[in-house]
Order: sequence, then structure tokens, then C-alpha cells
Amino acid sequence: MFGKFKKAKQDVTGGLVKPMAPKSALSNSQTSWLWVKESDRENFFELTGQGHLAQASHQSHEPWLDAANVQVISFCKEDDLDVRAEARESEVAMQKRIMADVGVKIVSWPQQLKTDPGQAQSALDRFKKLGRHFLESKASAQPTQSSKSNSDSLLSGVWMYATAQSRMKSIPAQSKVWSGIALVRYMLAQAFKSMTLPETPFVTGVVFQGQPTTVIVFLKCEADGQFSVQQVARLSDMSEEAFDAACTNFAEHARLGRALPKERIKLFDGTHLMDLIESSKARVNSSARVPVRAYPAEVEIFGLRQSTWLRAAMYASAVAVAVDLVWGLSALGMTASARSENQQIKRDVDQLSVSRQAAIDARFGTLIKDGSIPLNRLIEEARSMYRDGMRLEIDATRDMTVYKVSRRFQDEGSQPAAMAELLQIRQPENCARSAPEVTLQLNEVFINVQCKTVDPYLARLLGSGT
Amino acid sequence: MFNAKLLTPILLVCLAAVHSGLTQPQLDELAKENQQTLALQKTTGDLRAEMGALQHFEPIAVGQQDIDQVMVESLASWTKTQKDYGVTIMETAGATNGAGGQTVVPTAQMRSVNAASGLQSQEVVLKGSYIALEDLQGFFADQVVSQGASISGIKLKGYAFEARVQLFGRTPKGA
Repeated sequence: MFGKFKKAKQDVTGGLVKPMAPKSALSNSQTSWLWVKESDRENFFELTGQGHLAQASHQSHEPWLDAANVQVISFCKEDDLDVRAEARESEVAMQKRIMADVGVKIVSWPQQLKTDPGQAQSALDRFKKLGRHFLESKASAQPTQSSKSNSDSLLSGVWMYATAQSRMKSIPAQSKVWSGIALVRYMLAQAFKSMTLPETPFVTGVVFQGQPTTVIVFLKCEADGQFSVQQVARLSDMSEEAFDAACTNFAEHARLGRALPKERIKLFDGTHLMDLIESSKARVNSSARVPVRAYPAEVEIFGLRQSTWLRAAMYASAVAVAVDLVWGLSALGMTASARSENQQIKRDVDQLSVSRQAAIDARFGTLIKDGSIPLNRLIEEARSMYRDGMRLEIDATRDMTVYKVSRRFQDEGSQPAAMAELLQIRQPENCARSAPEVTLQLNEVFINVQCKTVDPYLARLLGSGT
Repeated sequence: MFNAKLLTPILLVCLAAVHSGLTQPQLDELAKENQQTLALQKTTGDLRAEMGALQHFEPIAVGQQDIDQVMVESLASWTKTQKDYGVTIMETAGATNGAGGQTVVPTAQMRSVNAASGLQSQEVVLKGSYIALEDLQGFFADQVVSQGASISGIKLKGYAFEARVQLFGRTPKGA
């Protein structure tokens, strides 16, 4: 922290900020850039793996045009948007709020500060190292209850960082654009967990050291945690006077007065930013992961990139086409096989039909005889049921024979006896007897006995012939 | 590597084309063929069962007379012999008196082709009376069934009877 210039000078020039080359050096040949807006002009400063300026001058040419795989830390006030979630406000509502403000489609991501104690502790451990000189500058200061609660309200909660979709469209997906204010806010939140929060508003920002030029991104942090004013200052030398002048200029610009106490100036070294970025990229379990990330390269749906969905849809479609094609071709093969089988069965059926016809022709004399109603059997069956005083009628077809056995009675008194006599009749085997009925004249009771006449096959054959 | 935005709709169009042009018609065709297979298998089974059943009947073929001849001869025979059996045929349905005093039935009535044999089938209804059941049994046994006709229906009430007799013969020449 550059709260006191002497300290700052020591930090910057005296080498207290140790280069952490093995940790922060970008092993995957990803170059880092600082993207700032100065007087409506977008300038890019190349950074080393330690967060220092690699060159003395900037370039206005977008670095991703030369190499697709770059990492950019953006401090562009108008383009890097942020909002703090209101009570019970959903992510979608926050996105809508931002879009309503800026009037363009955005890509965004939410940042939860101080979620659960475990996560906060692990993050704090990391930042004790990352923000060491920041903490050292106030090593004697112990956090008070009031400052802690102030810090909680100032830098806690859910923040959403967004930028225009159109801005991201021109940047290759392999390149990552980091919101500078998101990184600074997270580092502030971590740092103020263990030390006194300065009086608000205060000045914060990041110092990107370099030889001979140093770039300082100043931010004015309001009481509600918002960064209201942003300014980029270039120092051609890192002298005490130049640093003081830069701080004073910003304080004046931010309407904080020329005599702003040093305690209200809290700056980070660029190294910390780079380390934070590297930490966030580390594939650790989700609970220990630093809640900062680059802007989504494109719109995300349910946490997955649109292009991932599209790619999944493409592969699913390709698989569906292949499966459908295989299915269709196998159906084609099976149809041909079934058709051939049917033709064979048809030939068998034709042959069987010819044989059947021949068999019927050869036996038709017997079939006619056997299919004739067996009058003798009918009369025998009728006799077996007949009793004196009864009348018996036969009505037969090839399918069914009905014997109607009736008994007259003189008066009502003799009806039960007549009925009992009828009920004593034993019908022939395989015949069914109906319940006794009485004629409408009430002078006769009768039963019907139904029997099968001839083989149904013969009946059908001689009848319809099918 | 691939332009998913471009390829996905193309693949979906391909999917629709393949499905509607190849897969669905082939599936419909396959379903139809399978249905036909089932029907043919059932027919085959029925035919085999029928062939098995037919083996139980003694092989006796029908005569070669045409149906007109069979009918005329049968009616003549019944008219002549009815008294011998104590049977009186009072009415033959649709019968008319033909030349020479023979009772004939117009051939167009109650005649059809028996699909199983391909023979002409003529039904004649005989109404009459009898004296004893044995007479009636003898008449139908000797004069009807033994002569190659078949009783397809009969009603007996008191001493009256009404029988439907089915005659079979070849299709007359020139018919």
C-alpha cells in the first residue's frame, strides 16, 4: 500500500514487492495487457508476468489482433459496468437493470463477496500474502467493531460486472478480459477484513510500475462501495514529488481536496492483480476458488457458453442424423427381408390351398354325408327325453338343434306337477337346457334343450363353403 | 473448428429429410409387411389344421352329374318312392309342374356355388307328413343321404315335417 509515500517508494523502488516469477509468470505464453481509457482514447500497456509495465509507451492497436490468446485488464469507466445487488435481487434482474441503464446487450457475471466463513478465511489467507505491503502499512492498526461492520456494508454483498456484448464480439474467445474494478473491489474486501477501513470516500487503485514509466489507475471509492471517479496517471519517474502530485491531482479531481490524508489513499501493486488472476484460474475446488473471473466471451445460458450449447446441439443433431440414417437403413433391410419371407409364406399358402382343395374334392362325398343333419340321432335324443303326456318338437339346422319339450296342464293346481315332470328330464350329453317357461295362455309349460348338430367345420364348409 | 451456428440447422434439415424420406416410410412399410406376415402365418396354420382334420374323412368323391340333372332326378325319385316309406311330400318350395308330370324347381332359386368345392349347391325345401318316425328315417336315409344329398335343416312337429335338402352337382354345360 502506498498510504505513505516513503513506504510506497520503498515498495516500488526498494524492491519490497518481490517478483514472484514462478507463480505469476504466464507459462502458457499468454501476454497480459492493461487496457485504459485516457481522454476518450483507448490505450494498451503491455504487462509483464509480475504486473509491471513491459514497455515505456502504450499502443492504441488492439493486442488481440496480433495474438488471439491475450489477457487484458480493463479499466475503462464507461465500458466496465458494475452494480450492487439490492435486497433479494436476482441476477436476471440485475442484468436487466444494467441493460436498462446502458441500453445495450451485455455479458455479465456475478461476484459474491464474503459468502461463507470458510471461503472468506481461505481467501484471506491468500491475501495476507498478496496484500502484504498493503497490510504492513497499517500493521499496528487493529480492526474495530465499527470499522468491521463498516467494511461489511461497504464491500460485501453481490456485485455484478458487465460489459457490452458488442465490445466482446471483436475479441477472440481465447482472450480474456478482466474487469479491473472487480479485481480491486475483491482485493479491498479481502484486505479490510483484518484492518481498519479508512474514512470514506477514499482513494484506491493499482500501480503498474515500470521503467521509466509507471501507470497508476486511481479510483474514488464511495461510502456505498461504488467507484465513482476513475483516472489514469502516468509518471515518468517514481519520485516522491511526482507520486504526491499524482495523488493530489486525483484527490482534487475527485473533489476530495488537496490535503487528503495519506491514510485515505489505498493503492495496490500490479503484482497483486496478476497473482489474483492466476489464483482465480487455478483449478481448485469450488469452495476455495477466488470469486473473480474474466468477462464471459459470449452470452451464457445456465452457466454455459452459447457456443457450447450450439456445439452440443450440432453434435446432437449429427448423432441424430446418423442414428436416423442407420435406423432407416436397417428398416429398409428388415423390410426387404420381411417381404421375401412373406413371398415364401405366400407360396406355401398357395401350395397348401391347392392341397386343401384336392383333399376336399377327394372327400366331398363323405363331407356331404357327414355334414347332413343326423336325423336318426335327433330322433333318438328326442325319445330319450320324451315322457307320456308330453309334446316334443325338433327344429334343427347344421349348427344347432333345439328340442322343445312341452306339457299341458288343466288348471293352476297341476302346473307345479307338470313343471316338476319337465325338470326331471335329463338332457343328452353336451346339450343345454333352458329354464321352464309358461305359454301366454297359461295352459302349457315347456323347456328348450339346445344341442350342437354337426361339426361346425362341416357346417361352415357346406354352408358358405369358406 | 466447425461453424455450429451454420451446421446445426443444416443437420436438422438433413435429419428431417432422412426421417421423412427414408426412415419413416421404411418403418411404415416394415409394419405393413410384419402385419402381413402375421396374417399369412395364421392362414398357414389354419390350412395345416384343416388339412389335418380332412385326413379323418374317408375319400369319396361326388358324382360327375350336373346340378340340373341331380335335382330333376332327386325330385323324381322322391315323388316316386314317397308312398313306399309312408311319407307324403305335400309341397316342394318353388316347385312347378313340368312336362311329363315331373315336378321341377326353377334352377335360379336357392342355388349358389359352394366355395369349398366349387360345386353348384341347390337347396330344396320338402314339406310333408309321415305315419311313423321309422318311415321318415328310412326315407331320408335311403332317398336323400344315400343319394348324395345332405339335410341342412329339419323341423318335426307332430306328424309334419319340413326339411331343407342340399343337392350338389357340377355347373351345367353352357350355364
